[in-house]
Amino acid sequence: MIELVNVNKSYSGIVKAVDDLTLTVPEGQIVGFLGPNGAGKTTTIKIITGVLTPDSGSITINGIDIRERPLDAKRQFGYVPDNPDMFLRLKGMEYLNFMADMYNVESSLRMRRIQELSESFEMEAALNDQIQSYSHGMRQKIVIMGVLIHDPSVWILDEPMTGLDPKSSFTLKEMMKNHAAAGKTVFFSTHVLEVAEKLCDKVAIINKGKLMFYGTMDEIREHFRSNESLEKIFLELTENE
Amino acid sequence: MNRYIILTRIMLKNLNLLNLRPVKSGKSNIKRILITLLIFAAFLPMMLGIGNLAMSGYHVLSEIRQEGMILGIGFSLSSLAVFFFGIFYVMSFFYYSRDIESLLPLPLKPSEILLAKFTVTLFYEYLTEAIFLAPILTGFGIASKAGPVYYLYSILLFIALPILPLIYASVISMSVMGFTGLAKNKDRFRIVGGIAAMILAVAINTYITKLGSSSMSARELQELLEQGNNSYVKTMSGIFFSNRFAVMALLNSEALKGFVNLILFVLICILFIMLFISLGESIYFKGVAGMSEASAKRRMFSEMELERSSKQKPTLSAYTIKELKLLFRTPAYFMNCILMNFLYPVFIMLPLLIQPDEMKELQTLGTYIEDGRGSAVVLAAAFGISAFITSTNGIAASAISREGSNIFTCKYLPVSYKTQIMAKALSGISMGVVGTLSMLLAAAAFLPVPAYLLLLSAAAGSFGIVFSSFAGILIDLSFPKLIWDNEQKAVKQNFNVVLNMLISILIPGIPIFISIALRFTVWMTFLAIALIFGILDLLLYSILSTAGVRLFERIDA
Ligand SMILES: Nc1ncnc2c1ncn2[C@@H]1O[C@H](COP(=O)(O)OP(=O)(O)OP(=O)(O)O)[C@@H](O)[C@H]1O
Ligand SMILES: [Mg+2]
Repeated sequence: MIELVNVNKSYSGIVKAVDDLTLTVPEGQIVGFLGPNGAGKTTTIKIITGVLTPDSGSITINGIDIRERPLDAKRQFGYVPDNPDMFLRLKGMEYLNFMADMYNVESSLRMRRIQELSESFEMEAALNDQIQSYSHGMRQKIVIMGVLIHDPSVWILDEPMTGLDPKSSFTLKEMMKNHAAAGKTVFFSTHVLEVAEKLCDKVAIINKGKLMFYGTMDEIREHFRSNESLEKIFLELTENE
Repeated sequence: MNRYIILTRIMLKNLNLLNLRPVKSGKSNIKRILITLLIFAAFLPMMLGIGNLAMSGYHVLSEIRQEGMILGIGFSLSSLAVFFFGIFYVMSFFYYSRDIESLLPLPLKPSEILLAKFTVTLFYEYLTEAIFLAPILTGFGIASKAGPVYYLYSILLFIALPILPLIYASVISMSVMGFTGLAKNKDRFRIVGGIAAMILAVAINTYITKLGSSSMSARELQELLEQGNNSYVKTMSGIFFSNRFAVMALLNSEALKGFVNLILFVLICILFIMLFISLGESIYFKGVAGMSEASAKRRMFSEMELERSSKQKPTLSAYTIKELKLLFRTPAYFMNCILMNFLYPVFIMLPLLIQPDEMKELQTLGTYIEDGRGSAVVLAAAFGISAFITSTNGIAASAISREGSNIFTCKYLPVSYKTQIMAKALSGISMGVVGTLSMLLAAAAFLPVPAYLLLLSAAAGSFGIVFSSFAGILIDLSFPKLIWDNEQKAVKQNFNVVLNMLISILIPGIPIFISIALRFTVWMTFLAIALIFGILDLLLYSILSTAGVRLFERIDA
């Protein structure tokens, strides 16, 4: 579970990137995070993961406050950042083991997971090479694998599907469903409304740092009294006044 | 031409040469400006000293009418420095720089990119020159009561002087890098290429200095000097041959002869630039294309490999190993932070092998060491050198800066900042140990140093290594340089490294000075070092675990 209460964040005191955001991502559900470019999705996610400090407000993950007990809170989640270009000079295998060491994953367990994950993402032949030699999608995959290797209960993914091929994208979506079905938490941002519509139990729509709407797909339709597609509703909601 | 100017302007803007331009608005910029001023202040005594030396040198040499020597030596040494630094700069700006990737698709001629990059590199060389050549020119001008034309010429020559040596450095680097296009493992080849260029530079350097010293016997030199009339300047030759025109221009700044020499100098520069452009047009892109390619085998891992690499490691050691892996595998980091630690023996042995006479003098040094006082000095020196070597590798002082835009990864990993700081410090310490050990072993091979003294030196050195690493990372935590577009900038153009070097000379210098001044014995020297730096290291450790952690928390990702 992720809880944000009255979170504010502005960059250099001018651009208000997150504006009094209150949001609860419950267990056992997949929550999609939507909003136009520059709406504040990445900023919100960075605040949740402790990468950025908010100006005010509180954030708890599985009930643990990220600012009071940062290490315990960080062990709860796995984070896929929006840009997978990191640790480029490590080999895929070394990166996975590095992540496993950071999260204290025991040897035999990580071995099994490396095998399973590299198989499902078809990365077996790449793990011996430096991440630098990977394509964008492969980098995305290795970062996702680095999260899954420590099997966190909360998944926080910033545009995870970008650059994935259909099969890997499908694999990831199945994994997200299974994870939520097992009573755990999935929170991810995306620009692909079809994915959100099909995959998410709930969607949160944010614009200019403000939460515009938060609810299930049914609630959204009811709210707007329409059978419109999510796309129409989204466009209307985020239209500039 | 137009596109060249636009390109150069953009590159210079991106460069943030003095680290002064605010990257993000906020209070940290005041710190940034302060630290820049501090470093200039640190160089000021040196610049004043050089200027003073030039002035007194003028008064002595003008007696025998050889005052041109001052300028001649100034220009020669500056050219040499420009050339030597140029090799590094060219490698980083022409090749390692990330903007290359975005420039290649643009409809630009290789020469346009090359010339823009050359100009940007020149600006860096002006910084080098400012510290060394500017005081000499000014000192000479004041001493000779020169008129405004002298200063005008000085400025022109200051601007034009680095062109020739930098072209040499560029051509050498470009030739070496031209082959990388052929290599399979580009990273490794780039490292080897870097080493080759560096060794070439050292070899040329020794060759030049040897020419200067041996081509003329002492008697010949004396005769030459007795001729007066700045006869020395006329003998200036070698690869920086055009420098004599520069000197003549300044010596005769009030006469037409000076103007003619100035024009000659400028013409030579222009000629070389044109040659450089036409050469660069054909070889530059050969090395640049595919700079970002990495080798890939795409080979399945075996069960055994999986098992071996999947051994669980404690967080601290896993993190330290990651740091070291990145240092060894990133060409820019390898060149600047790692390589030197292994090369010290070479640098010690090379001159000795070239000049065997000096071996004999070393033997006399040996008897000096066996005497108790001598060994105290050796111990103190070994301690000072260990701290200095550790600071020159720059690993600790750039540990945060090297993260660059990936600094955010440090923030979400469930690893305490203290552990991360210590892992980064440990990577610096371990390479400091390598550098110090290789230095001690090389010394032991040539000097009759008793074993106990070696051990004692290693023990004292460890205090210096830890001190320098802790101080370095504390500096980098305070002023991290996270915004860079090529890795070289994180380590080479990082003032934190320079600052740490200054600190690592000054503070360890105190006990060295005391123990020599007070005529301490070996053991007293060792005790003094162990006591003072034991306490200092502990103090730094506790600062890092409290204030250091807070600084890390506050770094904006
Ligand atoms: N490092 C930064 N410094 C200053 N302002 C920033 C920074 N990062 C983001 N912003 C600003 O904060 C606002 C929100 O940006 P954010 O990256 O959170 O948007 P986003 O919803 O993730 O957009 P996208 O869909 O394009 O990824 C934007 O106005 C952006 O300009
Ligand atoms: Mg984003």
